[in-house]
Amino acid sequence: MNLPTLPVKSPATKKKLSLRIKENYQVYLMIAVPLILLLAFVVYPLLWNIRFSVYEYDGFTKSFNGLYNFKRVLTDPMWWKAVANTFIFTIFKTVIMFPIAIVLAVILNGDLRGRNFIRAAYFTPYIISMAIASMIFIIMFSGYNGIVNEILKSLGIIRENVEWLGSESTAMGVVVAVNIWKDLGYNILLVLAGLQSIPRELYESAAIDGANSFKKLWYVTLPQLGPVLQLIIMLSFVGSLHAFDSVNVLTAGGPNHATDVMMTYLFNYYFGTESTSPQQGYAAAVSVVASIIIAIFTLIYLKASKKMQDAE
Amino acid sequence: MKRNNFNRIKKIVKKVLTYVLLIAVMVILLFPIAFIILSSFKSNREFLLGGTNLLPQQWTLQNYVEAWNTANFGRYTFNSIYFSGIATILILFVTTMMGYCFDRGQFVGKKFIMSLYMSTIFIAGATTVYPVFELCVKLGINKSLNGLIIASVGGLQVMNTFLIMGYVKTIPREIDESAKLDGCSFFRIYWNMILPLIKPMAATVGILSFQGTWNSYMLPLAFTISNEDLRTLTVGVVALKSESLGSTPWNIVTAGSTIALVPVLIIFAIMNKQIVSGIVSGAVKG
Repeated sequence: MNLPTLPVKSPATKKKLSLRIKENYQVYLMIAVPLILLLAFVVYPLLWNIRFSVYEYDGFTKSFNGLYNFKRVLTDPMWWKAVANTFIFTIFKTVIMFPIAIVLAVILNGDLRGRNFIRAAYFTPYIISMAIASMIFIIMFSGYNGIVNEILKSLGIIRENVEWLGSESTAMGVVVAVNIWKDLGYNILLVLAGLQSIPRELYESAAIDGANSFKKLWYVTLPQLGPVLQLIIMLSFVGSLHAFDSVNVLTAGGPNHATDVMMTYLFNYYFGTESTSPQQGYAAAVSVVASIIIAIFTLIYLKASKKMQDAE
Repeated sequence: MKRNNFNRIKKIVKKVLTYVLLIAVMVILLFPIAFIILSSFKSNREFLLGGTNLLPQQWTLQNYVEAWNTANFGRYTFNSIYFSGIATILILFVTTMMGYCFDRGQFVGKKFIMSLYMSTIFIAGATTVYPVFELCVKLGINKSLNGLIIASVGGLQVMNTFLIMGYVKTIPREIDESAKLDGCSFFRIYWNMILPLIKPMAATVGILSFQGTWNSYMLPLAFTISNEDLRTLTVGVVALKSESLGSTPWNIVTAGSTIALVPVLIIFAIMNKQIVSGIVSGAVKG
């Protein structure tokens, strides 16, 4: 039973509150610095974006132009191409990476010699810089003397050099490749963490029923892994919507916007490119729209993960 | 008897195939890193010829000499060390204080502040990079690395803070209580009791922060677009490419990339257990 609370705030409780604050002044001092940083570098920029989204602003002069920026972004086919590219990138990355990650995690979950070494080796790409990784891929996928072309030619798979990053049909493939290359080991580890929570008895009884490895994977591992896997995939999905570094370094959105994603699109309006000058007001409106799109998917993720935590 | 043999062979074949698969994946994943490091020791002529040779025919340090002396990589290396070093120390202060206050502190608006903190995971870095930069211009701190450091520390420390908070939670509250009875203030308890106890997790957060800031690209890029002397290694390497691809000094790219890669690779080789467990638990909790 709950005790009835006092409906009127008496001076006594007020005093108590101020006393409490006085007693805890050190807490406030300690959270002050991080909090000011948070307000300055996270909250303020968000409000800045909302404010400037209704201005025409180039870094020097600004003039109010109402909802024009929003109209412009919502009707710009290049923006919608960037949105589509973001989702194409995200979906391809997810669909290709996770089956590989699951199979490798299942193998690595067994008794194997050198298991820890292999795991660490798989994780290595994840710890290096995405920008540097993208530079390495530029060199390897170079159309002129890249080692990928050379290897494919010596294997007889292609006869002439392919301009991987220079043609619209293959550039996105390289972007997806570098992202899978970098994140595979990380996701294997997350899946492994999920696998370790599956009770061994389930496999033992499946073995008694005569299930082979594939059947064990299909009827025991995947259903048991389900909820955790869902979380990991959505984590990767939401993260991929933020992709910037790899695209900016590999192609800067080109050729002909074939790899432009939401973040490179708006970055180029914020800071300008070699051929265009910055339009910060418009970029602010784009940021608001992009944030809404990402927030929707993040919320879905959070809801799903909360549901799972409740179910546990 | 025969059947037994067959099963044995089947088992061996299966094991061999498993290892072949695992090693093939390992080769694919490690190849690009080995490729760039080995290429950095090739002469420019040999590098431009291409081919499938991984090892240099003639080892040379010329690329490093050129990168260091003529391409400003000495400066970039210093910038990277300064930026990541100072930022890591500040991040450690901020996250340990915040993690401690979130778990042990009683203050008005705690729930609100915590959820404000949490909600920053919604923000994609690129959407706020310009306002952050403009704020630093207004504060007059965009002309030195300090602005970049403050902006990086002020940015998203959610995962690190919650890693620390989770760890503080595991420390028995009796320790605080007895310290309090001895007359320790809230800050003293943090400084004298909690900090020494959370060292393992603080070390993990420190390593992750160093790796994160060392590798970061977008924010350093935004801060150095018009200030080349402040470039970090990642930005410096990528900037070599911006001119037309044909005239890019690839030998300097390979040497610069290797300079940028080696520190994180060494740290990972020494402390991979800490890094892996920190990143995995951060993903699961965050």
